[in-house]
Amino acid sequence: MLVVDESKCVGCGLCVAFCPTGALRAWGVCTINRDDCNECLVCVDYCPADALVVLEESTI
Amino acid sequence: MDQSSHKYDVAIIGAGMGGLCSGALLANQGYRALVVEKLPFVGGRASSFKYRGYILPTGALYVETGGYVESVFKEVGATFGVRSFPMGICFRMDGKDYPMPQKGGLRQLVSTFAGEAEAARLMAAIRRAFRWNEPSSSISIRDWLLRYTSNDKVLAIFRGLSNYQCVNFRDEPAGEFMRQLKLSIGASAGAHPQGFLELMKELVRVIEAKGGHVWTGCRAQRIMVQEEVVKGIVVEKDGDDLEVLAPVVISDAGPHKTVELAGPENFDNGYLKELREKVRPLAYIGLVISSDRPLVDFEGVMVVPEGRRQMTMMCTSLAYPEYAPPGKHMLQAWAAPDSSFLPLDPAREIDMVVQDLREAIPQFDREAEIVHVSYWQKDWPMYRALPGALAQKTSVENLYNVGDGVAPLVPLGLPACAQSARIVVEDIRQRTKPAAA
Repeated sequence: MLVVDESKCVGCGLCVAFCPTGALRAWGVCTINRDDCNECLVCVDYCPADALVVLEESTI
Repeated sequence: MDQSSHKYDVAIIGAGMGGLCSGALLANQGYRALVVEKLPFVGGRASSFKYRGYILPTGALYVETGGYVESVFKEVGATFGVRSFPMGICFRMDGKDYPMPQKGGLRQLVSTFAGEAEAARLMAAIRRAFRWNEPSSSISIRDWLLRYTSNDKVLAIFRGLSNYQCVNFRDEPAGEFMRQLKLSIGASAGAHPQGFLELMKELVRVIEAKGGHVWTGCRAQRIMVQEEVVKGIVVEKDGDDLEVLAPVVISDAGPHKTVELAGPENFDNGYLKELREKVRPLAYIGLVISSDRPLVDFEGVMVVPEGRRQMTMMCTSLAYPEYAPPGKHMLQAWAAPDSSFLPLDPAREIDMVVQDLREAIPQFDREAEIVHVSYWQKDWPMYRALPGALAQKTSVENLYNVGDGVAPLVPLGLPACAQSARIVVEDIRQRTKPAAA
């Protein structure tokens, strides 16, 4: 499951621009709209702060 | 790939302005250079991306022309495809606009709000700071000014100029402010009409044309160090760890990240102490606002110094219509948060800026749409440190830093990154020759 590590997120908004489904919003800190996110994980590659991370379901 | 193809004269971590300038300068001198960049694009905070038909910067909006960056491009044969930027500055205070003439503008602006004797005293102090000695950086520019004026309007002018340098007025060291102010006199700037990414790709082209490589989407995992001498880097490439042997390593990932990658146990304690105490990232906020008509008619930079936050704005699409989709205009606004250095509530800071925009632009609520919000801080800051914080050489032999974490005392931002690269490359040339030579 894709989550935002708020301690790392800088709010740069790069993920917002590269998310193909428009599921991300950054207004200071990035948030994920679960209804729109298809977990393609493009945002993970584009996050300069390594703040978008995938957690295994069992660790949540 | 055979083992020899993993040997380079220099391995460079990070394809920002410092990393790519280093790579291009070295490649141009016959060194085989590898640049690795963890992001899928080059340029770092000197790049650009497209969003909803707009070309948006990842950080820097403009670059000085005829300066440190352009001189690197010229030397390596890269096209400096920068178009001139409108250099005018106008202050918007109490709903009234005060354009600042290029020559004698500061004196004129100060005199608008201060009495003759007060203005003369302040301008004499600034002249002394330029010609005799920079003020001490042990106090902020705000505290330095308070000796000469307590006039709120005059202080606001300098608060606005601090924002032009992207630093909070209460945090910017007096000496640094004056140095930057002096360096800005007569300076000119520009931006690439297709965005900074296109400019930075030119440096990639040079590196690759001269036998080097630039790998994007390739993360440096480790800097290899043996007995306090650098040996190369380990990168993750196509899912595997790959050792890249290089007698010289340059990091454009920021000095803190450099230590993390190499292991703090490999550095001397004095170096680590300086790093902890002096290399502190600066925060900044940027908004991109769309409208059908320009929200600001002035073509240059509009300074709004008296709001909740110190703010600068510019209708970028007036000078660069390519940055906005047809029929649209783009206003960019930048503000320093309440502190450049302290942890803050980013959402609250942005709300403050939006409230200031509403007051500064009467038609904001009717005509404006916020397209994108950026915060620069922590590992993706406005600047990794103020200039002069740390030397480019680390305590590990042949391991250098470049970029804004080790900025020399030249204009802030991109010029400092380019010049840090030039300093490092000059040192490398003195100490090691390319393997092929």
